[in-house]
Amino acid sequence: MRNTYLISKYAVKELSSKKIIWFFFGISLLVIAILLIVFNTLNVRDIAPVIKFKSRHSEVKDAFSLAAMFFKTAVTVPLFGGGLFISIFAVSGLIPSLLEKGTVEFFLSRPVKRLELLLGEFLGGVFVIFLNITFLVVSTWLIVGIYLNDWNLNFLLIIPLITLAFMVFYSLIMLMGIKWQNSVAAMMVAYLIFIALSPILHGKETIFLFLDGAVWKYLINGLYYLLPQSSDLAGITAKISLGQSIGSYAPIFVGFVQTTVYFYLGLLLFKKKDF
Amino acid sequence: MSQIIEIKNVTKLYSARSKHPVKALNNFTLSVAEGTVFGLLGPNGAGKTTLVKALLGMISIDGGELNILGEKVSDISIHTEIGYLPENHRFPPFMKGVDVLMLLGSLSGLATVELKEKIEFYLKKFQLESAASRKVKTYSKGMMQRLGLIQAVIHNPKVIFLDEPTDGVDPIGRKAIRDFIAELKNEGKTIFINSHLLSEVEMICDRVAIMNKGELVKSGTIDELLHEENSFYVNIEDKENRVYSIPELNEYDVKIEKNKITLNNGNYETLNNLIDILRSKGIMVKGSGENKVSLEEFFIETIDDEEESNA
Repeated sequence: MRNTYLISKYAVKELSSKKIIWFFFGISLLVIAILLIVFNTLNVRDIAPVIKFKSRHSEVKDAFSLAAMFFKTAVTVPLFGGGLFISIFAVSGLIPSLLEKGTVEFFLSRPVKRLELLLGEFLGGVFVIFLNITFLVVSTWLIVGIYLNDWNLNFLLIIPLITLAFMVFYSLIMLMGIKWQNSVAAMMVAYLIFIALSPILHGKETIFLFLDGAVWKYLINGLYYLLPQSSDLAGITAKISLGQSIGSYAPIFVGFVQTTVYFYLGLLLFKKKDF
Repeated sequence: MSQIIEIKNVTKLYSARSKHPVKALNNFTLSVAEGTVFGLLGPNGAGKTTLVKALLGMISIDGGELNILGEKVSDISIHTEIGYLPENHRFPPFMKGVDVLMLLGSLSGLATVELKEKIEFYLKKFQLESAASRKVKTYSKGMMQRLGLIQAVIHNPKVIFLDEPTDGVDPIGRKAIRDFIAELKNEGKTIFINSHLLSEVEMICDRVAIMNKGELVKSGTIDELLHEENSFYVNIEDKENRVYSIPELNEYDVKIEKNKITLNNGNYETLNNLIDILRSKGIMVKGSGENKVSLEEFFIETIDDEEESNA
């Protein structure tokens, strides 16, 4: 445990040295500042009807709930997309830099298990991103609560949800980083899945309308369960922000399974690898 | 003395599944006794680093047995007793020197209080105190090497592997490292050095092994390996070149140069007889002894012989 903690601290230090993490934090600060300016300059009752006009949800009754929903969604949906995008960029170099020739020897020559090394890197990365997400989500929740008296605790579920989405990608990036020791390649594959494949696979039922046949179904369903289901998790995030029920918990369950499997495969590779 | 490092019939294949696997280590056997400063020599690609990394559990082997301190190297708990300075090492550039030592010392199992004391001691010893709070990316090559040495010994290991310890270090720094290795030896540490700087190895090491193409070619003490069998020298002062006109010298297999006589196929008795003859002729003898080759000469000759016999 001590070694895992020490390696986590090391990963936190490495991430903290990256400008991109401070950029993420800066963006969060900017969003909070904008929210505060908006709430201090606009009368929410004035803008509520405008929001209502765009809302199609019958359960929303008053202007304050409507405004709260609007602001929460305006923060969390871009946070899911932008935050994950930045986070993938930030962590993609962690494993390749750890495994770099001349560096990895310092760690492997010590009484440190390879599992501890990998787990420490994983937890350190998750911790930094979790802090950033928590900072923005909790700040938004507090601001919306104070100004609109909307203290819905369910909104805070977005923190573990986005963190889970990040964990799935991070464990996959680790696996690719160990295999290829190339941060750019790992990052590009992660982006390809995040931006293109996951949204496409999210609409697999529509694809089946055009691609009929058992082989296509097996292939597309296989890919759907093999690759991170970020679009499904984004959908759940949006639902929570809108105050709706989550519906299917399957993407959350699949996310945990995928994280475990990617991590385990990465560990197997790491254990067998010569340095 | 007990054997601290035991390498028995070790084989390592690279690209083992391909049609043409490369044998980095071929049935390699070697042992290193406790308290020895051991030098492993070999041309590039001989398998030196592969051997050290196998001993540290960083690479797997395809056959044989590797033990350190009587334990199999797969048991990573022995790493508390092992220090390692890798070749061309690269410290995390975002860390300060002192943080690097804190991290690596902690990972070796040292408690924080003890570690801080040791860091202070070694930073002072290696004159890195003023640079300790600077990021390592600002360090010179020599400073990196000193920091590398500190991290290798900070946890007081029994066995220390040094891969090119004097690489990129100026002559003064090299001497400081040599002196430090001598200190470690006096403390009873076993030191295993990989180096291309043969003159350094000759000065530092008690025993050396030469390997080529994954195989052990020769091993022994420096004296055993470098002395030329039955060959002696006598240094003389002979301004009038009288030595050329001594008929008794014809009875010996000698080669006469200016102020130096080389006796081949001799022994200590014939060497003494030769000195007696020279002195009886009024030639001053300034020194004598067994002829030795330099480690570099020996190394090149050994590798050339090996290549020829394999050809």
